[in-house]
Amino acid sequence: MAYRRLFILVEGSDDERFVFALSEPLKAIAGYDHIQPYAYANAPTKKVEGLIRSIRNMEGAEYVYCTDLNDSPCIQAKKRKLQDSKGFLDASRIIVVVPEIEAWYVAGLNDQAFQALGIRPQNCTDDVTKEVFNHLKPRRFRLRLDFTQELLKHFQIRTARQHNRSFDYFMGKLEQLRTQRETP
Amino acid sequence: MLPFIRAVDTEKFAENSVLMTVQEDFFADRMLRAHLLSDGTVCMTALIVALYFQEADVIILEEPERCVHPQLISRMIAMMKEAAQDKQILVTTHSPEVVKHAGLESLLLITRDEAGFSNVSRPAEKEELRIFLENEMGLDDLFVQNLLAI
Repeated sequence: MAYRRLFILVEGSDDERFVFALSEPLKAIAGYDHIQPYAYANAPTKKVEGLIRSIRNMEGAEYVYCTDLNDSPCIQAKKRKLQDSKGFLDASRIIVVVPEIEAWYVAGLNDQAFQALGIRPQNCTDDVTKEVFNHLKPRRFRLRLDFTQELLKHFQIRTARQHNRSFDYFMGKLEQLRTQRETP
Repeated sequence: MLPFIRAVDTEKFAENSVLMTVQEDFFADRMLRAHLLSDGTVCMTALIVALYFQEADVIILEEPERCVHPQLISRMIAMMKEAAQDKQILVTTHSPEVVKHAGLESLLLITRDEAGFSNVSRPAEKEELRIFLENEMGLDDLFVQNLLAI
């Protein structure tokens, strides 16, 4: 059987760190031998296109492309906008992070973790923007990086699926890809 | 590589050490001691001596790109390849420019495994890397994005 690689294209370093931290459980859940994050924010579109073409020509390799919702009115609008500028992307492989990666970081905390970190519990993080995230950060974390690292220590995938719809969609997509692969 | 330098010499210094001196176009009437030169000039001069004037079968260079302008790196690598005709040259680097100009066939990638041991691999043997390169991804991009190790 071919070595299975999943390339997860993400915007920047916060997103890359998130995927890297979750790569082991994601490998197990989604059935891959290797998870490779790729930060595209500073890469020319031509390079990203080259990466996607490479993945398509590579045995056992697949990709998902994650992008923040930002100021788009809805997920479909964001996907359309993205495909207008990057027509080489397969719409079914685009994951829109709602609203931004910070929401996924917070989504993985259960009540005990919220209490331990001194953060007001969030049952739904679909509205947690960068600004809200920065506001949630307790003062004892001087650096944003310290805070994100601490959030990752407490992160639980099952909890995150309940707290953020786009993260649940992301995980569902990985499960779907596994089912497609394993169905004769 | 060092267009302003007319001559290089050495003079005896404290204990058994030797101090490098150079004569520049801008100061033709005096020899400048190494401590007055830029680090890049000193490193490049040392590199030229090591590559062309040192009688050794093996030369090991640690991150020779330090203090060197990126535009000069391609020429520096060309010099190394020329000198490598009759000697083995090993270079360690973290520079995408050096990786790019060295070329896939010259690369050995050293990574740490989960137990902390160093693994040495030859990226040229990986079919996946050939696919990346065929699709207009450069060696430097692959190195920066940590794709040489996949």
